[in-house]
Amino acid sequence: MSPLLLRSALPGLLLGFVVGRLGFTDYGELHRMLVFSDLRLFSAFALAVNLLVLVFMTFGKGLKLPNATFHRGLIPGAILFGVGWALTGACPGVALVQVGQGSLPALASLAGIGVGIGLRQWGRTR
Amino acid sequence: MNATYWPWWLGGLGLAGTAALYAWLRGVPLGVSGLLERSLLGSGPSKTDRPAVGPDCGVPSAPSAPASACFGSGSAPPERLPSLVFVVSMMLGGALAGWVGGQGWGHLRMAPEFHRFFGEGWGAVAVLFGGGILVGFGTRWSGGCTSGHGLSGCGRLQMPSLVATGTFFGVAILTSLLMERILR
Repeated sequence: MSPLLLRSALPGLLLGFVVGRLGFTDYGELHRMLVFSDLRLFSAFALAVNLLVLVFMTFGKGLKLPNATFHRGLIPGAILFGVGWALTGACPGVALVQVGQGSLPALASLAGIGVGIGLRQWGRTR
Repeated sequence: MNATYWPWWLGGLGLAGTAALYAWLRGVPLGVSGLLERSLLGSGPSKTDRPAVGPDCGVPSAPSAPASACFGSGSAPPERLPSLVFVVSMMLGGALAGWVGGQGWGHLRMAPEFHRFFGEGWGAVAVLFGGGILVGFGTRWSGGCTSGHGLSGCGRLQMPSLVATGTFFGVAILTSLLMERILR
């Protein structure tokens, strides 16, 4: 495998493993976070963001990463995502990991996500 | 709840480490929804047909928007093949996690909570598919998901990402509380 592909494969493998071992792919665990009955996942997420703030403050300048902008779909898109996330327990990464774990129902989630991505692309280029 | 899962601090370290590793290796912020989009649709149109807007969430009516409008779309957006490699690797990582964690491979059902809300039949499948459409459409419209806005964007204190993350977390919390009230 070429170095370019290895640079994608390594973090991909790692992220799938972390998300799976953390239990982000477990609908019950995610739901218990969203109704505040178990804050384990929320704590993990909050710690990750805080660590990343430190990392990017220290090393971020050299990376020249692009800035995010306020655009028309930012908030309405996030609202739709929030509803879908609560219903299915899946964000795009979670659906991938669930399918990787051999979950049959997650195939429906991932298929829906694929259709949604396609619809968005269609709406944008139409 | 489940003793087989990692404690919160190990998960936080893992998530942060992965996002930082990806940004370092690829030179663009990690964003799974953008990677999934490019692995499905390719990166062709984003570079030629729509040069004035970001390939992730650009708005056609705003030609002044910089090409780097959104996450996963820096000066050198990952091409289709690396995106596909990432997506497949993430699935393999999940399979490995299931094997190491003792959950095994192959599951015919979701967690019990899901079936408590939505039953066992095709209605439950429809919820997953329909909800999935909301997730796919919403994340691309918003220009990021839990990783792109949540980790990469918030980690860099990007105001749009902080707003988007607060929005999808808030809406997911409200939706879940509503589900507990009306579906249980």
